[in-house]
Amino acid sequence: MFDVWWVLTNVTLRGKVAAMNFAQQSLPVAQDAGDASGQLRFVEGRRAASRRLAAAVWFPLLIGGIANIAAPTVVDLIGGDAASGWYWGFAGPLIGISCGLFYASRPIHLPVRVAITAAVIGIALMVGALFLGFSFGESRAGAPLLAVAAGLGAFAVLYRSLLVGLVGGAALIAAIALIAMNTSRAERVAYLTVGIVSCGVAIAALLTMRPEAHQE
Amino acid sequence: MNNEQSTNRADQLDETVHQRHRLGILAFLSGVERAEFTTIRNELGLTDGNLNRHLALLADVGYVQISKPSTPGRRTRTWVALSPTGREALSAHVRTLQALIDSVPSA
Repeated sequence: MFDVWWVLTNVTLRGKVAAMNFAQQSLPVAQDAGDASGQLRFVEGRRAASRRLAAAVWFPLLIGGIANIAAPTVVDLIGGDAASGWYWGFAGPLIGISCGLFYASRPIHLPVRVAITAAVIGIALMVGALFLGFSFGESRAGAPLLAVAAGLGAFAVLYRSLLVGLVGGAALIAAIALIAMNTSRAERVAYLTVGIVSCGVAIAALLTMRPEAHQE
Repeated sequence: MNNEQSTNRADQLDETVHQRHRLGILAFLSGVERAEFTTIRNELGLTDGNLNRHLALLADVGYVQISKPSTPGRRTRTWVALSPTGREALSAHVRTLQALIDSVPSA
């Protein structure tokens, strides 16, 4: 009985000491491929974590989602053939400014190159949505969604984010369906679908973030 | 022969970079422009003292840049950024690790 207790205690203590050494001291000196690949995974993991945290894709997805959900009602209120263009002409800059202020206030900043590229994509998205919203003939209601889908696709590549790509895919399918059907009912359903998918993905991304990342 | 090569390459590793927490700090900073002290501390699960000690060492060798811009009426934030020298040191470390992996013939 004593022997069993001694062996168990000793093994547990040795395990704890080994774990403490690993956590508090240094990685094992990389002398074989296994150690080295473990360290490379460690480096990549940390790098990806900081990029994910800095990208904070939940915010633009949430704001964009709300804009999509509000689109049919506001476009109805504005009325007229170019209502969709006017709506996105106003909502686009508002989304851009909100995102700019949000990212500037973050405790972690994306590389300047990525931030500039994101700003360029955002402006292209807005100009594209505006242009298509005003000038896509009879199917203009679905046209801004095409620009939104393209913009989200570019953001997905830039941020290496599957979630953003998912919402971009939903926007693309909705835009194609809307242009094909071209009815006001389809328009409402398409924008609501994209908005709900976007907000849902944003909330899921927010909930899966580590809580300590928000602490000041 | 392979063991000799591996040992030689292991000797090339920069001890300042190789330490687990410092490697974590450098890798974390390599993905972003800059990060606030508290964010690094929370993400890497370090204490204030521990992170301070590692950052001081990394700043001494010029691998990170620490700044504390003060804005009137607002809390002073401590920002940490990877310097070009630090980025190069991390890249060299990664290259050495990759060379170590490549030196082992695949089964």
